[in-house]
Amino acid sequence: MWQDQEPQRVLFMIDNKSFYASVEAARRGMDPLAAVLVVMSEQANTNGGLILATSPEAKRRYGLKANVSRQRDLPDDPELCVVPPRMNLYIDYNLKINALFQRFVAPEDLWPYSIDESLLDLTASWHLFGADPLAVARRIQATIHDELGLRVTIGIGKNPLQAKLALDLKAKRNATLIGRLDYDTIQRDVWPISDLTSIWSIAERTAAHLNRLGLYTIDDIAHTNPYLLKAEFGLAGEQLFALAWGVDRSHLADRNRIQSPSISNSQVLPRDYRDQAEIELVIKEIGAQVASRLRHHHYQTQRVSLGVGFAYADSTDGHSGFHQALTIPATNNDHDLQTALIRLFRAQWHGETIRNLAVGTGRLCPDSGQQLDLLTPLASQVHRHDLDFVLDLIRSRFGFRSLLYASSKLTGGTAIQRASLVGGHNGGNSYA
Amino acid sequence: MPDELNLILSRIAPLFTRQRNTRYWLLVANDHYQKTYNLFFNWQPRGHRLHSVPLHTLTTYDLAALEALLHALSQRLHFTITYTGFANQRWPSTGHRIEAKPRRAEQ
Repeated sequence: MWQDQEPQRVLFMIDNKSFYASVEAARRGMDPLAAVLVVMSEQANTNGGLILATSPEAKRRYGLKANVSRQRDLPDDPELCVVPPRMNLYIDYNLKINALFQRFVAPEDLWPYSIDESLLDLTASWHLFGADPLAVARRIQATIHDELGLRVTIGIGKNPLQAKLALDLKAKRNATLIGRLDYDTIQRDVWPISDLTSIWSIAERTAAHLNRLGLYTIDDIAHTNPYLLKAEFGLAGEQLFALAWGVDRSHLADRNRIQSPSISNSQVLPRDYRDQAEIELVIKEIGAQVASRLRHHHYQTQRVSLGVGFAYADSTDGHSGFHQALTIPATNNDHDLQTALIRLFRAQWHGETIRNLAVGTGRLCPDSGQQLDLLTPLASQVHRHDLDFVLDLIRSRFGFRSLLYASSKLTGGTAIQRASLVGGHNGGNSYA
Repeated sequence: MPDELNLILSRIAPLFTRQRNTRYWLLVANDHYQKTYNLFFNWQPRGHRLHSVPLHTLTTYDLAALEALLHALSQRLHFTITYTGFANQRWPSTGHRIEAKPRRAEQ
């Protein structure tokens, strides 16, 4: 059989059920599966509140589907408990969980996939912990519940793809919270699925494209011409065909070499920005943040890009924003980067109202020297370099807020308020 | 302990806004997984959602220390305190039960 040629490993994809909400429930002495709780971020830019996580019981009661929804979608029910996020606490739990996984697999067989999902290759070690992989899965679930009070969902497959599909399509809908897929059961369990977006890696646009080709189920994709898929989707087409048959030949232990590294930061503004000076202030702040990260990683950049997203009201004529890049002499200096960004901004902006800003840097090269230019006095070039260096040093010792540009105090500046956030949400440092 | 007390008081201050028809109380959870006592400030306007904000985590897992802190706290503020996760435990100084009866959602 063709399956015999494919990888026959034992892979677990393990996901924390409603991770943030479960952690918050556990900290309050509640059962994560019974608690009616949502984690809501109420930062200035979330427009009244963004729901980051919903406990399983709250999802069931209020019919909430996507994790990230708005406060206005949430009923005002006295049974419901609303709590603020503590990102640092969740990172801490994630580290604890991954440390616990290392009792079952060697470090090189563990790949954290996101803040609440990890992939474990138990091919070499499962037989040490139980009679069959299912028993080992139950044992991992019990260990995490006993030690951390959290519930995990486990997808088991013979390759990473099957483990992920087993997790999403079977484990999450199963009372035992364990699901299993292999080359044979994929035909029975996955082929009939007609809601293509429920499948990992297929989103709205891909699903619509597939539908246009007359492909409505995974069965259809499995039995179409793979060359047609490749012609339509490129490399992603081959992957879709492989997915339909549950085939995944990736070797996770091989490290990918990143071909073109980049460093970027972006943010959603707390309100619509119209004033040029205010917008440029935030661009400069993000520019300084990116420059500081470049210096931290000992890189210089030779290409800087600026992405601007218009406010909803101004994006009606089909343009939702612009994205432009500029090649510059290698630098990681605040001033050079900011000058380039402002140039990009002024060339493209025509008075639109703005809600999103993103700054990116590419073509990174090692920070091994300073490129001097002929037109600026030498002393001031060296001075700027030293100034940035000292600023970084002070901030790394005493925190970002210990030394700020006075401009961040002007109306519109966001650096001070965002300094304590993790991933744009309350880190809860002081609570940990 | 005065530091912890002041920290807790300073975190309650901005949250206790004395709204009408709103219940304010403290929740003390015994986190037997992490071996900590977690303090939360809860409030609920009548007929609306409950809000619960973390105040502090006591890493000294010692009932006597918790009792002393809560005693000091009750000298300054008069919020109702509810307990969870203490099952059949008793206060070291008085021997009284900490929780009257375990609640439904409790493990």
